[in-house]
Amino acid sequence: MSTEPQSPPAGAAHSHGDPKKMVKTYVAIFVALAVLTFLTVWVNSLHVSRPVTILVAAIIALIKVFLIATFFMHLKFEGKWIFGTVALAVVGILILIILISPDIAGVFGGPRH
Amino acid sequence: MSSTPWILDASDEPTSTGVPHGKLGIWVFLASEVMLFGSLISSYIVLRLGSTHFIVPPHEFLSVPVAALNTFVLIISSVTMVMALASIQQDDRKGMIMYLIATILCGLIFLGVKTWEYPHKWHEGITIQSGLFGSFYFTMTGLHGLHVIGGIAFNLYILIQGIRGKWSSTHCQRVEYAGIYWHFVDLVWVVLFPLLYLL
Repeated sequence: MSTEPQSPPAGAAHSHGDPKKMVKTYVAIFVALAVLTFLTVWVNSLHVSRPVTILVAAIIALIKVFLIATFFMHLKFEGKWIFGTVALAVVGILILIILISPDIAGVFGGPRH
Repeated sequence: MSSTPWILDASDEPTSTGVPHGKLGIWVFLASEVMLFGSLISSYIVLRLGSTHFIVPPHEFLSVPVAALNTFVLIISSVTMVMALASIQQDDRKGMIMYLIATILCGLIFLGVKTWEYPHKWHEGITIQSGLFGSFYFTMTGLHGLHVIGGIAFNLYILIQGIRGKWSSTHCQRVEYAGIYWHFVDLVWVVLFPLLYLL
């Protein structure tokens, strides 16, 4: 019978990859976040149609959320337990969005209930 | 051996799930926070798009450049926070302390800008009672601001313990937990900024 622990020592450096190598990734993510923030403000100042502005802002915000969660919050390195917890929250948010979608649809010309 | 450190560190020990209790705890807490902000944001969206009473003030009143600067400050603070963790993972205690101080300073700058911004909004007639936009604006940014204060307090605790030499490359779980919380605060602002200032 194995007596090995079922998990690596908590907080061990290798659990999030090599910290020295990760520093370059963190800097790259910072540059990407800064550029995306600038892009959001710039697109908004172009006075393009409202649906396009909303779409671009939503896509950029989602990309930024993905980058922060994946690399800064280390979701990239997590296992099923943490993913399960995050998935629960995401499902909750999706339910909220799906439930309000009939109201939003009315604004864009769709049926309203 | 004193029993106190054992009690304090129990939440950081490896478990049968492979996830330290402390880490699972902070993620469960953040999942509930997602629902808290998510319900506010979805309410904002439905009223903003569905209510004829939802009047959005002109961009000039919203101080977009200042809010963009604040967004940038929070992004910098996220990088300094993750660099603090990377530093202690390499047993660079001075680096960790330096980056933690930078993170706390960025948090204070964010709050400082907010305390400048709020009276300007009031001066422009945007208050929590002035209409739907004002109610949502002050509720959501106020709630987020409280989270920033909480994050600064958490980081201060990590900093003080770091100065006392508590953290090392094999014992830096709480630095990571503080970081996860701080990044979440940044993540929420990344959503609030375009929602409240740009769209």
